[in-house]
Amino acid sequence: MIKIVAFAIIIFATITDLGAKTMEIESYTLENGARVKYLKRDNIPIVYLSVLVKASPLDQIKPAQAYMTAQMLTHGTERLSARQIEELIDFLAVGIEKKVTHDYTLITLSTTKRHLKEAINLFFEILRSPVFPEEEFKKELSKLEKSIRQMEEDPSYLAYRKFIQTLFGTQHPYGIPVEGLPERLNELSREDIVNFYRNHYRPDNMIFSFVGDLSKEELRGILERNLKDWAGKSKPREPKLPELPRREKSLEIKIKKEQLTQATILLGFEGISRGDSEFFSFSLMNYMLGGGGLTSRLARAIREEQGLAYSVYSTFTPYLLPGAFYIEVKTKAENFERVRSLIVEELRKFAERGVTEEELKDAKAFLTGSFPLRFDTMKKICEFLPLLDFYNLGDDYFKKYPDYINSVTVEQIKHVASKRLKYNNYVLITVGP
Amino acid sequence: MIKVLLLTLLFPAMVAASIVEHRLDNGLKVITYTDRASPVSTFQVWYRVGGIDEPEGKSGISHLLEHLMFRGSKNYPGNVFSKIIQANGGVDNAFTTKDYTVYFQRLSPEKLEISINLESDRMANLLLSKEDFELEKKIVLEERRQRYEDDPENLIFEEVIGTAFKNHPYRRPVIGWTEEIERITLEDVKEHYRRFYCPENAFIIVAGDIDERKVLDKVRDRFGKVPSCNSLPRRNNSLEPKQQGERRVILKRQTHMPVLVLAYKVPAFPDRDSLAIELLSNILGGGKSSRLYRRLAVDRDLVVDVATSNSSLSREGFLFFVYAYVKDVSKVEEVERIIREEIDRIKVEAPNERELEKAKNQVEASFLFSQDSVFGHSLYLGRFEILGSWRLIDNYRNTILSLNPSDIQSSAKRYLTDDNLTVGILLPR
Repeated sequence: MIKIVAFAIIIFATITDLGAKTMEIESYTLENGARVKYLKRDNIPIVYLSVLVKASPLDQIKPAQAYMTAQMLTHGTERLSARQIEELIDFLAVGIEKKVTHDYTLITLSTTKRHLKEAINLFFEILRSPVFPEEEFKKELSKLEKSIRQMEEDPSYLAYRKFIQTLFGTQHPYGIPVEGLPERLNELSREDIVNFYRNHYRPDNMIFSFVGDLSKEELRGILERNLKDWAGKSKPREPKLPELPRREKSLEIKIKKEQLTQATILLGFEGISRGDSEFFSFSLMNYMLGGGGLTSRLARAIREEQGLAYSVYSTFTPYLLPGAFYIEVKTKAENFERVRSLIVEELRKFAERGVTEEELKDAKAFLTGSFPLRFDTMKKICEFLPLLDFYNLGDDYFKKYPDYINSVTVEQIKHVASKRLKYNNYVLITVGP
Repeated sequence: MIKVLLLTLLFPAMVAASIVEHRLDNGLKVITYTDRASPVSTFQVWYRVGGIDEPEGKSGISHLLEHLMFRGSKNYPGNVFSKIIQANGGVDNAFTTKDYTVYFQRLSPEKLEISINLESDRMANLLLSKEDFELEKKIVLEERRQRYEDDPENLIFEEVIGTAFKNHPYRRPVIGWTEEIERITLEDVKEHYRRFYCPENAFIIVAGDIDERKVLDKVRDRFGKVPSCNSLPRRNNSLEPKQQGERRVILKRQTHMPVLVLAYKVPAFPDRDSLAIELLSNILGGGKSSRLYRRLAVDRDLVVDVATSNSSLSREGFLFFVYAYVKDVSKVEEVERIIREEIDRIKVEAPNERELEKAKNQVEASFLFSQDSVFGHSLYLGRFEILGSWRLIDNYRNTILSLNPSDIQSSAKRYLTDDNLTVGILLPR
């Protein structure tokens, strides 16, 4: 017998416009503090379930602690061995993806409707009762070490890692990659994983989202059976934040790799946080400067007009705390100086002169018009819904987004560009011959 | 009884009712597919031209032409294609494979007319200026440096494919060899465009939250004016001679881990064997409970990862790959021996029913998940259409369901032989 509304839930039903369609997202808070978001979509018999855990490098005392905790969830529980879990995942053909960012951990289950029940049971089993066997931990750690060593052969990875180390400093949670540093992985013990899990994997620290071919009754049943009786408080997030390294002028670091034919150029500086009031101006600025594919200013100047590169882009990482902004270009080694000066020149022009009304109009049309494309799969929706709560965007974010973008003026772009684009005080990492 | 029920539940047939096919007078086929789950649509133009169709000495010409398709056509001169799409809130791109070239936009259904105008103009009236040609060639050479010259993990696959095929055009990389890209002329590209970019050699997929009639009217209006092909392009007739003996290539480059690649020549769909090998690919390397991962990564801890890949939807027979990231140089031989042992084991001892059911579940799930976006689903349909018709999906599905353990075993015996094998090893320099 299933009691239907045996637990107290507060329901906020939100109907959100997304283009012509409405997204009927429902949000609940359970008694144990877990947040739940739900959207029904029954055009294909599949279901996604994501859980965002407020656990990341912001909370760790050693590099890779958050990352390894997430990885180890599928390596043994009170009832199932690692091998049994692997067999179930493959037999049911479900996906359990773990993504650890500098701000949070996101675990996503994807399953066909046909295997829903077994998949949900497995998911909550690994989430609620992992046992982190010592031997499995050691094996995974050794694989991780090897994998990072292999990633170090990728010039983009090397450049990015050096860049964040230089920008934030290695004591800052954003200063080293989530997967840690190979030479420091041996600091990590099973005990660290167990503690991290105990402190942070608690229902009041979690935001769940369910999207797909799932009725409200089925959802209630799932919550009733799997989540309601889970108690326990998480440790509050109190990240230790050292001051960022100071820089009086631009800093250039070269990593020599003789076998390469191209120079990978990564040039950047401090960015903004997700909650920054200038977030939307910054997004538009980034789009026009280098985020907008082949049409951006940087792509025009470096690729389209001169044929100096295949890959040119800028991006930024708007975390809970201010993140980074950077540009990456790969060019034949002998063109390094030319490309560097083109980048700096574009930054300078943007910072000093801003953009035209026409350019801003096109950028707004892109960001608002393509917004629904960012949510054109159930998976993308499922992984985004928890962020509405996590970054305090609100359930009406989908509806309000076009207004946020459209209200930005050329003056605001100019303002944010002149303040943020540090064309004479940047960090430049080059990996090349 | 339970078995029958299982089969009907497994792998539900696609909702074919929402897919409609049309043909214009000039021979262009248009496939519309209505799905109203999200307020988005996709417009895709597929050309039946890829690496397989390239003239000798001109490897990479299809991909170079793909780049040049963004450099302006008669009514939209200059570098404006993506700018127009993006200013209308759309995303656009293109890709070339060994079998076909696809141009696509993802955008709001109200904006489909823009795609139709732009795509129809570049199907008929591409400008192809000398200046753009030289620029794109430079860009493609940078792309090649980035993807191959500076990425040994890709380079070893290029070498294995080039070694496995002696004569078949699949031996050439889609991006082309540097020496040949450099020598392609503008005239070559113009000729390639004239031969392959015409209505009967293409088809369109429009999908999403669309008004089918309205879209078709517009497509007819614009694409209907594109002249028919002069003659249908000749297809590849370079056959691969029977392989005599195992082949081997060793590449020494900067890498932390050695990479071992085993590639067996296998047939393509609709050959039944190709789907048996598809299932075998899952049994051997689909996930952490697969035979190879279990033995090499879990029991013996010799590799960081081992996986398999089979592209059964090739236009012609291609390769079944097993590849492993080996933890230590001294273990490469042992890893190769174990992989070959596992392949031989299938030949003497058929996979069990549960393994087969697991492999079928995996194929079913990837089929369903590929439908999660209209864009992804359209790509899925297009891959079958390239082989003749999107309706072949039913054949694919029924064949997969009908395969039994002894089919898997006999396909392995037939194709996974030393005389079909090429081994590639990437070693640290």
